[in-house]
Amino acid sequence: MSANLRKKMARFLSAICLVFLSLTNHAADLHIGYKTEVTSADPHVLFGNNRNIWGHVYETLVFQNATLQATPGLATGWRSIDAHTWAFDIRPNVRFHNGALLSAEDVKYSLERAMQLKGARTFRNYLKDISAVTVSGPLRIEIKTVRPAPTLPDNIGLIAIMLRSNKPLSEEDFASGKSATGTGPYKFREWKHGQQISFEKNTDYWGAHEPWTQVTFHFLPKDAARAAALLSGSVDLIDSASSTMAGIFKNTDKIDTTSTTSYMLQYLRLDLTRDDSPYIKSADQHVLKKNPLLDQRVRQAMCLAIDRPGLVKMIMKGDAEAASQLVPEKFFGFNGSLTVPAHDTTTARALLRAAGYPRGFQISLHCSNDRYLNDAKLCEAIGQLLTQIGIKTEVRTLPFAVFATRSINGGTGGTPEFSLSMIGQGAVTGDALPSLTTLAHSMDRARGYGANNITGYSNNELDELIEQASLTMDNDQRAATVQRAARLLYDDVGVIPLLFPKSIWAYKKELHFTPRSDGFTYAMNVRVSEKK
Amino acid sequence: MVDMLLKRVAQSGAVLLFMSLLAFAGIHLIGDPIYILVNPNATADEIAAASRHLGLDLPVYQQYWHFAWNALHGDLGTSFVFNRPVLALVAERIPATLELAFCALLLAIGIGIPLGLIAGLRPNGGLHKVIMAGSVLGITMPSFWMGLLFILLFSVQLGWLPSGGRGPTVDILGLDLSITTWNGVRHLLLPALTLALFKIALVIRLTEAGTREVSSQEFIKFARAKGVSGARLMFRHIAPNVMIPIITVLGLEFGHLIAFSLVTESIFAWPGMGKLIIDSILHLDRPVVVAYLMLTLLIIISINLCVDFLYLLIDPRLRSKLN
Repeated sequence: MSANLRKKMARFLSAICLVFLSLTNHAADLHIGYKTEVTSADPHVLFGNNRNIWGHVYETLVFQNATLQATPGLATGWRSIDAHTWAFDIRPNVRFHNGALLSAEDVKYSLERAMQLKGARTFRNYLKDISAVTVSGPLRIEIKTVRPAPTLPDNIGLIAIMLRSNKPLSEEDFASGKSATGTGPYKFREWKHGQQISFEKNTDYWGAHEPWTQVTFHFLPKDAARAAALLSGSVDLIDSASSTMAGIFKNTDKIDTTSTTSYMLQYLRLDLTRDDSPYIKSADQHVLKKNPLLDQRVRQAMCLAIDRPGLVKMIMKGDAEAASQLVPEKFFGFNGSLTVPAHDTTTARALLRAAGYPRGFQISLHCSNDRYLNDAKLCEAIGQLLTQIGIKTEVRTLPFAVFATRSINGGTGGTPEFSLSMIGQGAVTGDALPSLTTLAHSMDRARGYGANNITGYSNNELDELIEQASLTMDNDQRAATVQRAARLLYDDVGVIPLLFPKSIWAYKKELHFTPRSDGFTYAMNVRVSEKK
Repeated sequence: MVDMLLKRVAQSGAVLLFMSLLAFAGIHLIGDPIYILVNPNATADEIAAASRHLGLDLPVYQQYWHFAWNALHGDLGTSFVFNRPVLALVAERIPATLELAFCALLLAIGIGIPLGLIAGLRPNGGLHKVIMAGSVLGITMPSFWMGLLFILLFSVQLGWLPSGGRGPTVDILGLDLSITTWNGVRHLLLPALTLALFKIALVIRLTEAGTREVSSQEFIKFARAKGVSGARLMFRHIAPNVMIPIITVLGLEFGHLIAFSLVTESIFAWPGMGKLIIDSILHLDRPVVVAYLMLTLLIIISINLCVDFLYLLIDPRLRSKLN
């Protein structure tokens, strides 16, 4: 075959293909390759990946923008009437998928259902401040709180508003679609368990209409399967497109990727309760009289020993951002004056000497190996970095199922077991205060402080700032207090922040995708690119 | 005959009981699922309430007793993660796995036995070398690697077949099957072939060895001397005598196909039971793990029973022994 003929044939074939594609794929269907399987169709069951999916069908009073700050949603506005009352104005003329008008009664029903739902995965933690929800007009509700609750609108933004029902709704009612009635831009169509979930456009949507007539999420947990599905064209967009895949996509000019810093923080948790911590020994294997981690200089030294930009570059291959504090930039309470701790081994060694450990000591670092992106590799690198300044670190990685139990109650008498461990913490509502409350405030079960501060960090001054912020209704004042608290935690090295992993998406070049800090993959953020 | 059946059922019951104990104790030792399930910011009170709701606050022997008592009444519990009855959860994934396993088995029989017979009948031919070399390849290649190669070649490069998922399914007699539509078959082809490769090679090797052994025996020589040849010699005299060991092995291997198809299932995102069990182990979803193990065991036990009956059908000597 001559080269000319071959070229002609190729052109002819590609023309046929194009015609065929334009006939079958009318660009109005969107297929998304999604890493995690959805476990429940009940929108009041707490699980991030479920929330991502039901966000197409159900809406909330308060929406979160791309950096998770509160914006009007099904509520057009809200304000605090007094220190213990919030009022929300509900958007008029919003219709549920069955045609019913949204009313204050539906909102009350939804919030109360979320508060009362039983089981392990509930939103109760976010709603614990609420004492009563009252309907004060057809389109107005008032929420009474047991104490001043400045973060209430953020928390309310997590609760799906559904059509009220006279009988209790079961998981089956939602999964079959019988009671999957929301107000969102998409209607529930079908859920094939373990395989896919599909939605169709809600033509009566109150907001801007979606360009996609049908959206299907395909559950493809294996990275290779997701990448292959995108490359072979059976899906248009995939989430969790980590750097290991980037090499494959580079060889083709049909794929684009985008990423954003996620709300998840990876940090080191330090045992600050016991003098005789089980995994800390002196450099020559003896039991230490005093827990070295209790010395602020030691914590400072450890913080300086960690080369965050190096970890981001070498271990995470750019899929992360170095962290200085609990939340990334643009989140409420982010303190811009805090810099990422420098990698300074000389100062770190000097600090260790000053603290009375010229020869360092021995410690074990425990990590999960199947929970976070590159978690085991990160820990090995951190172990080496700590060893460099004289803290001989033995790294032990475990499956998260084992890690979680042991880290909380694996020690003697059901106490937290590990001396040093790495774990993640998410600022789900885009606000630094909940993170400070749960992991930096001293543990106080009765008042609900420090739920995640299981290793006993305690700083009275910080506690006061956090408590003050959590009762401050004025947002500017609250932001200033939270930032002061962040500074205090930074200086005292209560936890050692490491990095924020990035959420990454890969998609066909014809598309445009707007990323969100919560890593959610919304069809509402996928558009056909205009320039091509 | 009935004796044998009753004895088998009693044995199976004991094995099931032992297995449930083992599975329950094993998954309990790994850790407490409550810390994986609850919001990391949950307060101690919330964790305690959730524990009570799931019955995790009881001592482990009581949890087992509850489980066993309910299981006897046909209720294998409710999944912690999916919040649905375990039986329904596993049942809706069984058709996908069974379909995949059956197709793989059919491929193994349909490709393996003819090739094995051909190779066995001509031990010195060129075809023999090609087939046997192919079977070595099939035995030694890890199936996950072959699966990835298939995806790379047939989905990514050539674009002929989908890389994963299960295509449209049609409800046939209460089972969701994808084999009835062309699109469904396209989805099924790669995973079934990946799963079958090792079995095809195994069947080829068994059949080849069996055929060579049988065809050199006295009764075949006698049949040939009597003038029996061609298809009659093949199907009346050689094949049935080759089949006994193959059925034994295929019976065992079919159990494996069902229970351990999880590698293939996860590569091809096939929504079967394999994926469910892996996720459930990672989430310490105890009811699902225990129920899955018991159901798989039940399937394997039933397959072995079927294999025993097939022996009787094929081998007249066994029939006469029973009578």
